[in-house]
Amino acid sequence: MYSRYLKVLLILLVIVFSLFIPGLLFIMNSGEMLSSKMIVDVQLKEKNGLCIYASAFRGNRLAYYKALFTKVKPKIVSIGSSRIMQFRSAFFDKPFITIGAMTNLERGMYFIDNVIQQSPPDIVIIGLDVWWFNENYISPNEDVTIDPSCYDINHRNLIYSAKEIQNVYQWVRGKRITLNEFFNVMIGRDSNSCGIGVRGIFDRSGYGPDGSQYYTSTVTGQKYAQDRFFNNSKTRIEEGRDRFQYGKIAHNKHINRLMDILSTLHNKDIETIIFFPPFAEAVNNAMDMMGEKYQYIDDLKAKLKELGIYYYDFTNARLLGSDDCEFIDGFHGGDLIYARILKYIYNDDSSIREYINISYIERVISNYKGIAFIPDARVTSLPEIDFLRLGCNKEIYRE
Amino acid sequence: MLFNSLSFILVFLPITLIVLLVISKRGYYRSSIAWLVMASLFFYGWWNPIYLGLILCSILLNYTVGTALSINKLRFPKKWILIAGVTANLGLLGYFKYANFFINNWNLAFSANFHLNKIILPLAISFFTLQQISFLVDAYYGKVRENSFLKYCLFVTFFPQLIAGPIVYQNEMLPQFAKDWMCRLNHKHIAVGITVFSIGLFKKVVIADNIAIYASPLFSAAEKGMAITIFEAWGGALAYTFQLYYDFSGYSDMAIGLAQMFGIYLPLNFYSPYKANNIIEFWRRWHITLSRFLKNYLYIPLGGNRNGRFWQYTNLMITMLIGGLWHGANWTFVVWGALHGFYLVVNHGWHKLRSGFLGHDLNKSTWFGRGTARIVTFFALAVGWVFFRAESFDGAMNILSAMFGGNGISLPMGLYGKLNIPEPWFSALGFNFDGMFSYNAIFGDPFGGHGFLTGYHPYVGIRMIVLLLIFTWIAPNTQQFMAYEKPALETYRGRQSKDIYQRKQNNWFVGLFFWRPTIIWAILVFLCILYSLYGLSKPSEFLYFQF
Repeated sequence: MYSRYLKVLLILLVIVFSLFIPGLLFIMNSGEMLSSKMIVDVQLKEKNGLCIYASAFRGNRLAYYKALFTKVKPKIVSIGSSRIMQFRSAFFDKPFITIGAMTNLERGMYFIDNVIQQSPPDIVIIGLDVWWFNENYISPNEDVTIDPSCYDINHRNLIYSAKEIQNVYQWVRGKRITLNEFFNVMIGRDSNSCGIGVRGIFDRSGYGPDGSQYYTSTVTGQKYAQDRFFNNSKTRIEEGRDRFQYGKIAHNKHINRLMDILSTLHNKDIETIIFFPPFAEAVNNAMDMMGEKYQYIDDLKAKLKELGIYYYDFTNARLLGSDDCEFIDGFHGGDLIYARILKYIYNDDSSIREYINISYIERVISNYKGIAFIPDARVTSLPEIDFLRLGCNKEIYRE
Repeated sequence: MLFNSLSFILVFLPITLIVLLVISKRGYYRSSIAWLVMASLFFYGWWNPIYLGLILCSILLNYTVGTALSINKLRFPKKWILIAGVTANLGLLGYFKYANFFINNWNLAFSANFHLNKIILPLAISFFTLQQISFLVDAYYGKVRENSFLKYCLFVTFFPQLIAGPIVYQNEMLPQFAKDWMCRLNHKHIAVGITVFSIGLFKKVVIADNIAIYASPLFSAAEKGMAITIFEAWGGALAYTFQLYYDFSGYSDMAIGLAQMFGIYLPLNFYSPYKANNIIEFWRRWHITLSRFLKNYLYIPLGGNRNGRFWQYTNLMITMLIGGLWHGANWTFVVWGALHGFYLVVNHGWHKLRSGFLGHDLNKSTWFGRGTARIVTFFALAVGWVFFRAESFDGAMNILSAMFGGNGISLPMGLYGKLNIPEPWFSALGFNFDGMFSYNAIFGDPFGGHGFLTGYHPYVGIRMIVLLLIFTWIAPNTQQFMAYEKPALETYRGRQSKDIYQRKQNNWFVGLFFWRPTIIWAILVFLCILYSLYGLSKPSEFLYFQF
């Protein structure tokens, strides 16, 4: 009886599992299962091209950045959310990485305590998201008390569901991936460009070896830009959701946490530079239209001033001589904007000058005005288009 | 490696099992044990190989101390060896689990400024420490009959129970590793094991992970100090009540099922705890192996109920406070433990009052009395879980205040005007017509994700909670469902005679709901596994891993 039961059960399971195997091989050979340390090793070893990593399923930013920091031991670091990820190592003369894993201040504190302190850099540039201080914003509920290696799901705690493996087949059926591409990756045949993870390989979008973000498929029009005409950002503002929740006051609990971060860095003799990353002008205008609903932002800035915290306020990108064409979406500036930010700080703060490659920054600012992505043949040969449909003229940079 | 991962299900488990079957078929008994130890250490080291050294040192130390305690003629008094061994275990646990907590509180209390980098808690340390302490105590009392180092290693590291229990005793496990164990590596145990494992997988992936989306946002909001409505507070607290139960009992089922596949019986860890009619009964049904450890190695040595009622209640409080602290280095756990200690004292006092002063027969009860008691017990537990889940005392109080009307009673906006009562009356009674749920703020979709069913909509959450409540109170537990096989060692000491699943086992209709090794059940179990595999959508650790 037991034997017959087991036979039926095992036959059914073997049939189902054998259907999973090609999909699983595809996922494995695309590098989705590599540990963060292995991903970083591959990225840093690549000398000819630029190795971009992005998982199509789920990456672990915390573990990835921890591995990157440990390997690079940078002298200058930028830390914040995805909104500081357009700082490129090419902007700097000394080893640099950008850590875009700070989804809230707790995460930032965790990272500083557990990673940055192990090999303190000279300078930390902190990009503050205003909503971290909003009483009504709930940041992603990520546990910061557990060792990131526990969360390093790539390779170690791999959980790929049947549904996700089925996704792979659906990509092939929907022609997002050709059958040829599927087989090439499945059998581990090398491709011309270095990519890790399904998105890294096929979209050429994701993290560069300095931790910065490449939005290749979006800016080249291969992927639909979610924030066309900034409509998505504007809707969030109108509905007060998804980071744009309304709020009256900046929460003291979070301001105190920021103070903890600053004092920890200060105690380690690490110089800090704080700034508020920019919003597109259309987004700034939409927020202004809401009257006092975003009162907490003014409250925050007033409180920081009261506490004697010096910060750069780049909320309005016009201050930098930029415009909406240089944005990725309503609240993510492109490469040019971050080059401009560094130029601004360079002019204002002499202590950072020896770290910044000002000649490169000035060159790209003068050559590529109005674009979001500084052309890089190692990443893509496709030109940037007017992906936000704002009427920006990007044709001039096509070769 | 998580039990609910494809790498475990598709790679580790089949390889471990197949190799073991091959070795054991050839009659290599010691090699079979050694293989299981190696596989278990690999399983443990998968998370972080650094901690392998820690567990191996701990095993070596305890085995040495245990062996010393088993020797009859010793120069040193055995008591001191036992104290040294227990202290070493507690010291290790104390350092990894409580050092940061202690220093933070010391700094706070005495305005000191000691700094200690955050110590990462090695996985499973809370569990294997207790297990080895019980081994030392048993060795001290001469109860250990087995002195094989290999078997001791397997007793500590056996992977189904290593990470989060059940907390096993040496006298339950070591005899099972005797030679006749190899006879149990057969079709029957593998079939039963896969079945129990699949039930656990379903509980974890399909139930616990999907109700969790209604608990986590509430607790995050409370930590932010947000104003929570009464319905949100109860919704979140009840969602967590079910999440924790299905998560942990799912894990325990998976552990029991895995052990069965390897021909080993683990002790039962859950026996329908939410069917308990009082808190005393709850602790006989919830995390049974921890409760019995606390009882046998703490409550009874403290004096138990042997020195009068005052000391019984004091001992209960001490036991529950330590039990609370065992769960985590946070005052919220201490408060949770204290609350349960208080519940137990009240429960014992109530029983005493009824039997001693009122002359009631505690063995007799009406369905109404039992129903009321069960509901009161359940809601008392839900209140306790708020402290258990909250990250801070303030966060917990924020939720509890909302649960008991501290933020008023928020009613649907549409109701205003339909009730023909003047508004000031409502306001005076604390009623507001501002909606039962502040949808966008708390149960909205701040994470950009979607739930398993239809997203984060609060009414879906309510529906799930109601369905789970009914299911949890009516459905048989795994041990009852598998009544013909008894896959776990019986540890439940409560009464079973009133249980329909015990009484009606031989009724043909009720019998349909008991598992049998038939083709129909094979197909149903296969569907259950398939459904669970489709539900594996995010890296979701078991809640008890953090303890």
